[in-house]
Amino acid sequence: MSADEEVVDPKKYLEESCKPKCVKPLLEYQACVKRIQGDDSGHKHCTGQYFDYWHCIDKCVAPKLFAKLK
Amino acid sequence: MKDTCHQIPKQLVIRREKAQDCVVEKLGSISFTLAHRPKRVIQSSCVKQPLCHRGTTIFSRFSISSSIVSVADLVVPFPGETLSLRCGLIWCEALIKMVGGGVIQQILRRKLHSPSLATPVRSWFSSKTAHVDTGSSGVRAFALLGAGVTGLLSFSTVASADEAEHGLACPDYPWPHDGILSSYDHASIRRGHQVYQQVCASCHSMSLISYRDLVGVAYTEEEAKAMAAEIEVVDGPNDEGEMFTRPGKLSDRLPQPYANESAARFANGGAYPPDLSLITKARHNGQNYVFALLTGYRDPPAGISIREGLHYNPYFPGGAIAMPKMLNDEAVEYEDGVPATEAQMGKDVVSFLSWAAEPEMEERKLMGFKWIFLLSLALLQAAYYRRLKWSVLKSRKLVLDVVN
Repeated sequence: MSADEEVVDPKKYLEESCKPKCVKPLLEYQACVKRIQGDDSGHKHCTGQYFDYWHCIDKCVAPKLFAKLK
Repeated sequence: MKDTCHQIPKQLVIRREKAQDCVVEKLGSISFTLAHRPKRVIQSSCVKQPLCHRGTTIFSRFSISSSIVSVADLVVPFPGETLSLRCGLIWCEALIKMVGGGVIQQILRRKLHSPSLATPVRSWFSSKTAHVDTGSSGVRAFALLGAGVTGLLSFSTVASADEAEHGLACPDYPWPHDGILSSYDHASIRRGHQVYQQVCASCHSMSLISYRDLVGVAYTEEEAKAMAAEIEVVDGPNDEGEMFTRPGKLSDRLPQPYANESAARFANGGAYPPDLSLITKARHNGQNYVFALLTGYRDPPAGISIREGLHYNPYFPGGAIAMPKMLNDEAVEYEDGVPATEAQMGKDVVSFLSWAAEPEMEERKLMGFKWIFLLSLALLQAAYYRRLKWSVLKSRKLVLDVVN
């Protein structure tokens, strides 16, 4: 067995490393989470900010990911 | 040529008409000259425009604020734009130009009180457009402006529709087989088939692929035969009229996990795991979508709760998918020793699915390259030959003798 027992999923790793690039949408999402915290109606959600954040991350990760894969 | 281009300037038209008048007067004259061969004008400098654009150039010619380049041409095509949206934008702009032209003309008339300026402007306008009377033009201008504004608003609101309904847009990954002359990564197809067999085949059928299709693509003939022999296939009827089971052959299709759709739905909480033979062609941006979906299982955003039995996936339209996360690190042990991370398995299985949906891709690209090259040569040859034959007519001289 190779020495590399601990396999790190490259996608997770790149998503972590792309976080600094997408701070703005992340802060927007966190602000939204705080805003809807007290809501009990069940109608409020942060899908928009969530999508914006993950879209930013995806755009950052996509060009780099396949270079790390076989 | 009824498909007329509206760009023939009036001056040349008049000249042609004059020349034609002279020809009519001089019927019977053997030789006739055209002062300037309007060859360049007749041969359209007209660019092929969409219908809506051609119509609106008529409007824009009559407005004071018209310019050669329409503003709509400057709007860069954006993702999600359709022809109808662009036509809508062009028409709205034409309406606004018309309205703007009317408004500017009114302002000009009021500000410059000299009748000498107003009259030629007004006469020019009245000869061309219909709505010049000051009384109702204000109401009409407002109505047209309202139409333009609603047109603009309609195309701006399309982009902000409910995001979860369409799912998060998947990014474009740089697939190794994307280039114009790029083939599949066959090692990846082989690994992808292994992932399919061990992870996906328990729920998803691939009923259009046979074992023989894999020969030469992912496995040798012996390997494929051995794989086929592992499954049991119902065959028959035999001489006694009974169905029997036998080990699989190369000609058999990949096995189906469920007997029919109802059984599949019953086993999966009402959801039908779709057949994967054509899935990358059956979904928009299929390759990127399937990869994003398989590797995109995440916690739902704040405020979203998914019911029991479903799982959150932002790429799935609606967000709630029946399939749980199937690709986990080390779920499969690859024969060639490649570390089986989630992303690696996702890439391999999508390569396999791409091949399954488009096995002809490599041959198609080779053929495409070959025939585009040959047809380009044929085009050059045809162009030369056409110009050669037409040179006789194009270098002809016509003399129009004008009688005074």
